[in-house]
Amino acid sequence: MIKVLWQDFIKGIWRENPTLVLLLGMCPTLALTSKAINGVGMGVATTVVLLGSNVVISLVKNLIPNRVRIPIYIVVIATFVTLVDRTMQAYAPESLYNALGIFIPLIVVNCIVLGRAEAFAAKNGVVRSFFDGLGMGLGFTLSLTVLGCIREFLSTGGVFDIILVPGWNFMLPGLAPGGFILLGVLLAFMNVLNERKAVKSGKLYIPPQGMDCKHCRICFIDKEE
Amino acid sequence: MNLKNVKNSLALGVILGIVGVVASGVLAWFYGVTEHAIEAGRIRKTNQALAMVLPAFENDIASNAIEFDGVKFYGALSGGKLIAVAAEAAVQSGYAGEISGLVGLSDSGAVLELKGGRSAVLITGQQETPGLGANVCNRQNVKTLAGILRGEKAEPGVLPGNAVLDSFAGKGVDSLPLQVKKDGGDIEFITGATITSRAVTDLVNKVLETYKAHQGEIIPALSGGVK
Repeated sequence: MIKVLWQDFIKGIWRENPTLVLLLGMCPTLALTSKAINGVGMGVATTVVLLGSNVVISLVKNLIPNRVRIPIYIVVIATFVTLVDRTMQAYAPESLYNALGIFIPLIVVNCIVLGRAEAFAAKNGVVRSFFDGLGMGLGFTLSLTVLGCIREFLSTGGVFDIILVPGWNFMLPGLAPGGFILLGVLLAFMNVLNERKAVKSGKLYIPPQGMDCKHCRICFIDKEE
Repeated sequence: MNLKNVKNSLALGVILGIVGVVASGVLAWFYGVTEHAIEAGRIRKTNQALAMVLPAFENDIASNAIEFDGVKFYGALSGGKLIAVAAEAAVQSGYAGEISGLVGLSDSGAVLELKGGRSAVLITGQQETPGLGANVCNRQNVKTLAGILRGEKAEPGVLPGNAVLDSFAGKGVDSLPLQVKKDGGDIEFITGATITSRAVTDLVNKVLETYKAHQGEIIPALSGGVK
């Protein structure tokens, strides 16, 4: 039992990392990671929502008719988002709430939260759903923080508002295009690591969701059909 | 009880309705719980910003205010006398839209000069480009790793410096209109962020012009303290 829970928890952090492997929740990932502290704040807020919605949905999963499950999930998620939003408005530091402001309500449409409700919480018990939510939330927080640290360091020369290289100022990584470029680099790095690991242990490396050279048809987009 | 296979539209509607009612009940309860803290936070924020651009005052400043032409003036009283006025205004001429800010004025209509050569200009809202236009607006103490290791601390009671904003210190209604150095005035600007520098200058100009036009009404209205 403990092993199953550990698996549910740990898969969100690396093997099924929501941002870097499942590629869900790209909007907050790109919009908010210009500073490391924003990544942490958004990650924690999403984790709380994810925990709440996973627990509630796994508790009432038998009372939800299949035909109206998506609206009910959205109502549950929106309720938790509003709770988190008002809690942050009341108690979080002013600068953090100002930076995250408009993105907190958008957690409602974050695919990670709805995706875990539909794919995990609706099929599993409350304890497993809790650990799944915790792992996924932590994976999201970690990837946002890592991307935030890289972008903040490359644009201002520091992390968490502490300058490490005085006088460094380079705008691109702090803006949206730089976010796309660095996210791409991070994904490539992640794939290289996974491939190395697979080759070393003698297994065949299967990239997530058919994102390998065999399945990629991008070169043939205008030639097919 | 298992309702997974309910297909009757009426029953589905009832279930959705119950979910909605429960959710709104939870939200209504939580609204009441946090209402007080959020309101207190908003007042604290205004008071903190006002305290940053004004000398020490004794009155409840948020309620001692009057508005002319979109500029809101707050009167700071000490010992029953008006010692300074803070003006809250916004301009639309920023590189990314609205820039709003607070300016502290003496009663003769000059931008106050604070401790450490800082001017009483504080930008409270902007969406300028990070690292460029935002540097014109932000007053933020830069923390460096070397500084932290050496145990440096920000001087208490002194605003973090900002070359553009601090060049407004002492400028008054008699030196209108203010212009950035590029346009022949004497306000600093940051190369590459001229539009933002001009917008901030516009903001101060707007405050000073409104003050000049309504000085005769503002001073008596705010001196009373209690309305």
